[in-house]
Amino acid sequence: MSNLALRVLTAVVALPLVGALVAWREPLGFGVLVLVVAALALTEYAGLTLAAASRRLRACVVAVGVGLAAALYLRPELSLVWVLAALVAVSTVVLLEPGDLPAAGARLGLAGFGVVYLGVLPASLALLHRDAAHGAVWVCAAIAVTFGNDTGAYFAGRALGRHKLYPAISPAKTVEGAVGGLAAGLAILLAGHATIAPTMTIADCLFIAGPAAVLGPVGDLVESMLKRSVGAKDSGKLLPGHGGMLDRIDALLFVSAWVYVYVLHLR
Amino acid sequence: MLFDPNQLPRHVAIIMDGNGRWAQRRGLPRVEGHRRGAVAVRDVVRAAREIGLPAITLYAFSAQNWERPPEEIATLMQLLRDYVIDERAEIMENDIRLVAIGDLDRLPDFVKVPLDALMVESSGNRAMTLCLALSYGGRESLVAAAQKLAGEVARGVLEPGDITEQHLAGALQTNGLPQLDLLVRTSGEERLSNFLLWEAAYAELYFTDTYWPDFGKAELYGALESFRGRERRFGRTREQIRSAG
Repeated sequence: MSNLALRVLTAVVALPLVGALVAWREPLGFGVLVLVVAALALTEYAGLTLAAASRRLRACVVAVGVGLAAALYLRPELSLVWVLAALVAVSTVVLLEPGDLPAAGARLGLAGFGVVYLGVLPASLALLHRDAAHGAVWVCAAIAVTFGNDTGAYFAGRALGRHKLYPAISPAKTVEGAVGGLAAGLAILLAGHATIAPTMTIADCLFIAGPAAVLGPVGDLVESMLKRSVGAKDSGKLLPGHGGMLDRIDALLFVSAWVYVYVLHLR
Repeated sequence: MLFDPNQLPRHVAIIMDGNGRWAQRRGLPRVEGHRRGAVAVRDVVRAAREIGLPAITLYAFSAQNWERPPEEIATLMQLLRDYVIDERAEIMENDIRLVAIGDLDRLPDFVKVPLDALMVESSGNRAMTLCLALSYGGRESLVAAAQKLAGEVARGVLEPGDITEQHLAGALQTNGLPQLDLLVRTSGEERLSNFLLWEAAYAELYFTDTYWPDFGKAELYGALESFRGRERRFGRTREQIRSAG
């Protein structure tokens, strides 16, 4: 089977499941999905960046990251407490497994970054879903704008791409592509506004699509940078045709953090 | 769950409390609680209509709420306007009559104009009455009724000694609504807070710890279930009910 067919097939299986959980009135369903995704992404992350460290350390990063996401979901008003506890816990575990000392600082950084990256960011999507008025609409908006960015950037870049955006990390990305991504992301949100989601105003579309056009590629580049720093191409092969879980959600994570802040704290 | 129409309250009033605390519990701004509260209003009105409640009154904004911070008032007014505009189609399709009680003249025009229009448009609807208490206070409404009756006395239409319960009830804005059978308050507070003081005289009271944004169809059913249990013994002894049943 070709890679594209595999990619489409995986999407055909996964999308209805995600859609059903987003639409379900009981928010815990989507919350659990987010936790599972965070666990899978953390496992990939730990395998990728902490391959030389002990299995115990990797397991600990996954456990603390998932625990952080769950704690943020259940008691978000204590978010500062959870982040502090997670960072102290994971640092302590790194300290107890000194291993190769010259690389201990890198392990500390990678482990700490990992739990925040894949504990806090996914939680923002689950909280957006559960706590915002019409949370399902906003989650769909975050997913749709990310998809629009990605697809728009791909086609605009292929058709018009001249100027490289960040060749050291991602040689295929172009400035033209990024602009196309912005346009496509905004177009998808405006289409949503005009049809199924009138609660999302035109101002909301602009406030989401603009930052998303920057944050989506940033999330993508951060993940590419992590992979390149360890010489990997895909984060894993969990999703046939898509690479790993982390490859699939990297841009969405950064976008959802913004949508969460915008919808629940700024709007 | 199905309810026998004879065991349903004719009129349910709800003190929708706890939006702010719901938000604070989640580390969110209070306005988010109000936004979620507006979603709960839609769900509960829909559920009430499905079950077949004849009338429901919602304490949306009290006369005392004008003391809140200006930005919170602005959000509440905006949500009210959104509600009236967004729900217009559903209110008309579901044969719901929209009425409002309270000092409506204090409402800003961007709320009052669409509200008045929908009240006029829906005035012929019969399946359910949805009453919004806006800028409402129970004492204030009693004062207004007293002034009205005093006016009639001054004009010589009425003698002070002839004023009856019916006169006062008729002078209240809730005249025309069925007798209040059930008063619900969310979020654990157990006060009337100046809501329907006269009308609540014989109402069953139902308090729940649930914050208003988390109050939905299931919670409304819970309140009605509780009411049904109480109503069966209402005014009679257990033995009378057994021998009648």
